[in-house]
Amino acid sequence: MSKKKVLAIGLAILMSFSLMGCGEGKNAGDITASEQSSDNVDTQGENPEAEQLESQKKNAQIQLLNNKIEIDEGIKAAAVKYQELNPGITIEVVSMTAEPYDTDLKTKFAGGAAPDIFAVSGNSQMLAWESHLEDLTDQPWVTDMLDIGKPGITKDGKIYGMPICVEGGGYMYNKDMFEKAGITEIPKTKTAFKDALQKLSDAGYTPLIEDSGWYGLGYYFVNYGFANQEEPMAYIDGLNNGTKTITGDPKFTEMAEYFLWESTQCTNMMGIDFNTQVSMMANQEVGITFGGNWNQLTFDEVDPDLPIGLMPVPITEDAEYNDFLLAGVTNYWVVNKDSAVKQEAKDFMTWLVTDPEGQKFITKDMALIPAFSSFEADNESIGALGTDLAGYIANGKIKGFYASFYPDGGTQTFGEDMQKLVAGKAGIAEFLETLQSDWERLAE
Amino acid sequence: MRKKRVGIGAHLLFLGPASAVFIIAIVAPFVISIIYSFTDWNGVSNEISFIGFKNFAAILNGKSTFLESFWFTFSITFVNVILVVVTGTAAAVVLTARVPLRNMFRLALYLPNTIGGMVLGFVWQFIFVAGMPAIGEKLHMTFMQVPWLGQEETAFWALVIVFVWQNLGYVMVIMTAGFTSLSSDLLESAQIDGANGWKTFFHIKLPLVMPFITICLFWTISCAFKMFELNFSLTKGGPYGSTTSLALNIYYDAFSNNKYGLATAQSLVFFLIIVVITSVQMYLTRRKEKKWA
Repeated sequence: MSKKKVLAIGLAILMSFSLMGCGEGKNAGDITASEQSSDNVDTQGENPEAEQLESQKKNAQIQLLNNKIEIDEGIKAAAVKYQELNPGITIEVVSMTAEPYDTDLKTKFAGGAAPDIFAVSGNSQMLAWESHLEDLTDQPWVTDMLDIGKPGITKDGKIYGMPICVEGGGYMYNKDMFEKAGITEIPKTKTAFKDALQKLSDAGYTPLIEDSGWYGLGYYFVNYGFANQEEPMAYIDGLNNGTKTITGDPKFTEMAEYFLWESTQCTNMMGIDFNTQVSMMANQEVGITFGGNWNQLTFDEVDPDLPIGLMPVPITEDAEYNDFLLAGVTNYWVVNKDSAVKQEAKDFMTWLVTDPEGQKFITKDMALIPAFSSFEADNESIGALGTDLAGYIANGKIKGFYASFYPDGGTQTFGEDMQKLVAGKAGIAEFLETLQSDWERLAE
Repeated sequence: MRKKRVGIGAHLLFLGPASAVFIIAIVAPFVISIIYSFTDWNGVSNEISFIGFKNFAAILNGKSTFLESFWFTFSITFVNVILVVVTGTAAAVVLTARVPLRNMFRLALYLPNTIGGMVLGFVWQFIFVAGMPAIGEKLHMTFMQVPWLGQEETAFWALVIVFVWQNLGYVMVIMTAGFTSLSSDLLESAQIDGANGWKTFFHIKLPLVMPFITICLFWTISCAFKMFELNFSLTKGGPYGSTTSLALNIYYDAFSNNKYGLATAQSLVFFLIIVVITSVQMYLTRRKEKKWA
């Protein structure tokens, strides 16, 4: 009996230790956060703790978690430069691809090793992470933010993140092949596009491929249904409060009809994955495929002079209506509000987008199109795709990405629904009904 | 003879470290995840509220994709277990006979088991996406040129192929140990009694290696049921979610769909299913062992 009791007590103690461990971690974070806010009020430095904070400021270590592996070198170069200018500050950059990033970020927070600056990809991620995010509305760069970057990171009028860049896409096409096949003008209607595919095929090229993975279908193709609405955001609100439906919606029907037709024009529709798609385009083995300026750095590695361009996806017969690229801000830097060095983190971010030296790292080293009106992209660095995109942005011929306004898990679910459509497992009407019921299920 | 009473100190010294690790790594997370399964936690937020049995209701009424992935996991486990155990045993039988280069063959069959599932998945992804169609084109075999990972049926069999290839080596090693441990007296007397090769195999060898088959079944069932890396790296659960295993479904809900509460509820149900299946299987094979032993 007594042994059992001892064992039970021992178990209880051990378990409460493990629980206390979690509790303590959180409290510690809260304390530093509240100390910092009180730090603004009394700056006499009588408080030994405050002094300690002062010295911490001079010797701050900022950890930055980056989900755009392609800008890894650029952001590390910027960090090195910033460390030179600000002795005592060290910035540790950890980069990974988008897929393990979400998981890694969660485990870092759960494990008490939360980064000070990290990236969130728009609205849904912002909402998920909201209770960890510092309000950045008062930052100097906010006034220069481009309008397309604002909806994804604004809640109740507050800005929670700094746009990393503008990205955009449409059909990528091979200019050499177009020329050799005798296509003199970019096809702007579905019929013209059909002719172009025929010409490419006659000239002996593989005209069109698509990546059949759920990501591309859900993030880009289904997006056309939202982007073509008169007021996409009002439509999404309508879906959420039940006043609008996807079933029978003309824009969605149009989108489904187009991509179902497109899939029949593709070579080996369900057999091509993202890597195959990109490498075929890079090696000039195909005329047209969907993509965007995020592919540019990969292409540059294969062939910096790859003759490629971006053109709109001709969803209908109306050339005027079709004439736009998808573009928007897909990722934002945010600051962990419980970070002990959040002021230093904010200073670094401000330097990056307001100081000409910092801006240069964004435009040249990272080769990004900035989402700020205060400085412009560097045409040489952003490559052919970036230049075409910048042209469409300048002419205002862009529509947004709405995946971050889907309910959580929407990109994958809607992408899988579309896989069923193009694989012939569902008709258009059934596809739209499934989208509708999946939206309701996930939004619950 | 009275046993000397051992003090609590000695208990703690010998059992303490192991118990502590067990409690911290297994028991505590288990209890915590039971608590989470009754919440709507999204995995990151500081706001957690209790929602009772809603997560469990969502699993059973089809509002989550649990049932689909359960059905997939169940069918692929069925196929995998049969194929792995049969091919593994067959390989062991063949390679315990005096065939030339048998150590080379053993090595070749066991090697895939030493490579991690993720790596295997990526290697085979290349084979299915680029390798098979290229071979098919050269040999004019149309069935090789299908989009292996892009169709529900072929993606299923692609996973089976890789799983069997990966795991038959392990079964082969266990069964080899089983067959070589058989006493030669019995086999010899069977021979003298006039039993041919088949009869010896089915009536002497197979019943005697039943304990080894139990181990293999137990191991492959739990292995196949917990399938994760292969689906993750080979098909990502596609096309249209048709090859999402239970473990992968839980992972997606927890980390991509921000439904941590639902995911923990699913993992508890998953745990119960595994407990039931393995206990039934243990019970049945134990009975067989007794009958045949």
